[in-house]
Amino acid sequence: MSLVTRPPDRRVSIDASTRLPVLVFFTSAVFWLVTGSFLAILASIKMHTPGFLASTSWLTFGRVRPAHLNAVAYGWASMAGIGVLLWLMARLSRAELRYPWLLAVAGGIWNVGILLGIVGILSGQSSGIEWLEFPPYVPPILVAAYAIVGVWAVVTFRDRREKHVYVSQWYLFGAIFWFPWLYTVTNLLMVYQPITGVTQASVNWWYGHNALGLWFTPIGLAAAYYLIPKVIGRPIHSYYLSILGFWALALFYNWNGAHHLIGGPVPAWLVTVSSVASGMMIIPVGAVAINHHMTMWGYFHVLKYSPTLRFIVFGSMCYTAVSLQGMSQSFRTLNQVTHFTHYTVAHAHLGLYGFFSMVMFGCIYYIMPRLTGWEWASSRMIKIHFWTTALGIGSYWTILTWGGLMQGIELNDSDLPFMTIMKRTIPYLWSRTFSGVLMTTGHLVFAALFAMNLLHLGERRTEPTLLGDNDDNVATESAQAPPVLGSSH
Amino acid sequence: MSSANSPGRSESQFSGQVETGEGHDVQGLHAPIMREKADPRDGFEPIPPWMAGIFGIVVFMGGMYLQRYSGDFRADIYEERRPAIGASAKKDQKPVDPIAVGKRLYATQGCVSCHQANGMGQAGAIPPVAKSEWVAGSAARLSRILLQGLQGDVKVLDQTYNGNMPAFGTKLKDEQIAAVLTYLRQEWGNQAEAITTESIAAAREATKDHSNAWNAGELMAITSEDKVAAPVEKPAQRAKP
Ligand code: HEC
Repeated sequence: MSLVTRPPDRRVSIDASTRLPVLVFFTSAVFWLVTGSFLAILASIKMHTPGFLASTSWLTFGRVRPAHLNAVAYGWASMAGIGVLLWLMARLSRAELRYPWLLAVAGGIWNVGILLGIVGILSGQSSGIEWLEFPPYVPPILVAAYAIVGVWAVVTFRDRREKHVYVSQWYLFGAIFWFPWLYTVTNLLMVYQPITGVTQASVNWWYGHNALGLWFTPIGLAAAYYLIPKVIGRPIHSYYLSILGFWALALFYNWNGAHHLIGGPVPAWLVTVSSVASGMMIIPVGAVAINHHMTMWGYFHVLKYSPTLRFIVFGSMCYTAVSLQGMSQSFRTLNQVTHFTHYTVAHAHLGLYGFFSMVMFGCIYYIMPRLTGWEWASSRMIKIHFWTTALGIGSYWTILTWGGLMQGIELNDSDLPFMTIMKRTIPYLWSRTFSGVLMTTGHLVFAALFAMNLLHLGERRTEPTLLGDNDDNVATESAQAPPVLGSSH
Repeated sequence: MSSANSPGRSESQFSGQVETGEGHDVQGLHAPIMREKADPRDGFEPIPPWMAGIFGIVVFMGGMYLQRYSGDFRADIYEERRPAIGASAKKDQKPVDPIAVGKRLYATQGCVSCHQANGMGQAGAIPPVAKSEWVAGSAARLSRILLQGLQGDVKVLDQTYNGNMPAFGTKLKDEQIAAVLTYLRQEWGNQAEAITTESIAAAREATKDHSNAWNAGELMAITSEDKVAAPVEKPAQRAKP
């Protein structure tokens, strides 16, 4: 069962086979991250200063906001996720990717889809369906690109030389099959052959929620399951908890979507089943949290040095937090206060950003040097990236959670005029813009680091860049160190 | 274990590198291999019993919640605490409060425009229903006033009136008449027994050949109460007398 005794050269050739496609996906992801961040700031400013750029139809709130969502969800998160998925799948199967250029083509097609989609939304062609705002000509493009990725991931798995299927692979496998099912079915039912009535809303939220839980979440968890024990060099705490966590997620998550419709005109049982399934999420979430926590136990000091681990552990903690929060929100008592307030927005960002994006950052820090043969240029920049994004999402969540709670309580008070309540949210909305700027700063630093790594800029380092490093010292040290010969695989 | 100031950049490269996980001084071709630790393996610690316990409780509570708020998994139940429109719901239905219904009918059926909101009527024209001996008295007479109307001289609280009290027998159902009369009998300080739907039904049956409005004399001649099919309910207890 142990994977320790592998031929030493295998990993090099496997990593090399993933280089082209994974770099294509990562580079695009970082591009969309930055684009999405600017769209986010625009949208956020409009929340407290509605006149800002309001005379340009392309930049009105109703377009910028879905453009932001789609840029970060399908551009940044999905592309980073696919990059990680391909790399991990190859590595864990101990099999080279076949015809990697084809996957790079898939990345190209995916980018065309996103670009058309974002421009489409900004030009006013949004479908108006939440999470699927891309105009109707975009989904087939994404499906085509995804088909290549999905098939290739399965082919790589079939090529595997490693008999033991590690827990990360279960999650990857889940994501590979769940995403196309969700995406095609929902597009058929919402865009091409629209169903009518409240069923539309049910399908919409079935998709909206599952995109998070059955596409992003399993990739994020697969990465955490691999990289936490990998970096600290320990086995994962418990195989049984892994099994319990995976199957409970597979069983319960799919039912969660209808909790977005609490108070809506849908049969009571639909919402009740969804609330119960959301409550059951304590099982997969608790299992994963305990499993990761116990694996880390005694090794928390490594967070001081390893950029990968720091981002991933931060992300994993956010996963636990966001899941527990989501459970509480799915019950009617709290939901009737928080629904349609900024509270929900804070929750969504804790999930997709605090958890998923932070885990993706961690993965990219780990994977990139192995693909480019070049270490990260600056430990200080990594630290800036970490603290701006961690503090950014931290303050974003705290402010909007509190602000949303107040807003919800006030909205339920029929004596308060709507405009008064609106005006009271404005200070929170300013702080939200501030947090957004903080995160975007981090993204720009990260993008610069990423570009430097890709282009082999900066001092050649002979050793991995760690957070304990003092950049100046390393520079002098590596100037004296012998050049590394074999790292340009 | 190295201190924070010197994170492991020492001679003992591959032995004591647990704190970084990313190997340090790497050599030549071995660099990509040596920089990493072995791929993760599975540990086989058991699931902690307290955790299994919590999960068990959660599953149990989930089942309870599902049973309680699933609205029988029916497509026509939209409010998890309310029963369906229709038959299967009856068992959960709270009995209606006749006072509340009566109050509403008093306002919507026009009683209020003649007898006034305070039940005092209009001096010389419309008799009061507050404190009225007709209201508090025989249920048989009172029912007939509502069913077929009243005209001619009538003495209420030592004042004589001569007006036209319209008939409501065709406009209102038995339970509505019972409700509005119960309201009259228990509002404005009135404290008489509730009037049941059954007793109105009995009165309606007994007077089915009587189509004209009554006069006070005819009513006073009625001395017996109507035969009530169902047992008469206990007087409804007012929440606020
Ligand atoms: C058009 C005006 C009018 C309306 C509407 C009206 N009443 Fe009367 N009501 C009268 C008059 C006039 C009398 C007295 C009749 C008479 O003089 O013979 C009377 C008499 C009565 C009496 C018996 C005398 C007394 O004051 O106790 C009752 C009881 C009564 N009405 C109840 C009602 C109720 C209940 C309603 C509504 C469902 C109602 N009335 C609607 C005009 C009205």
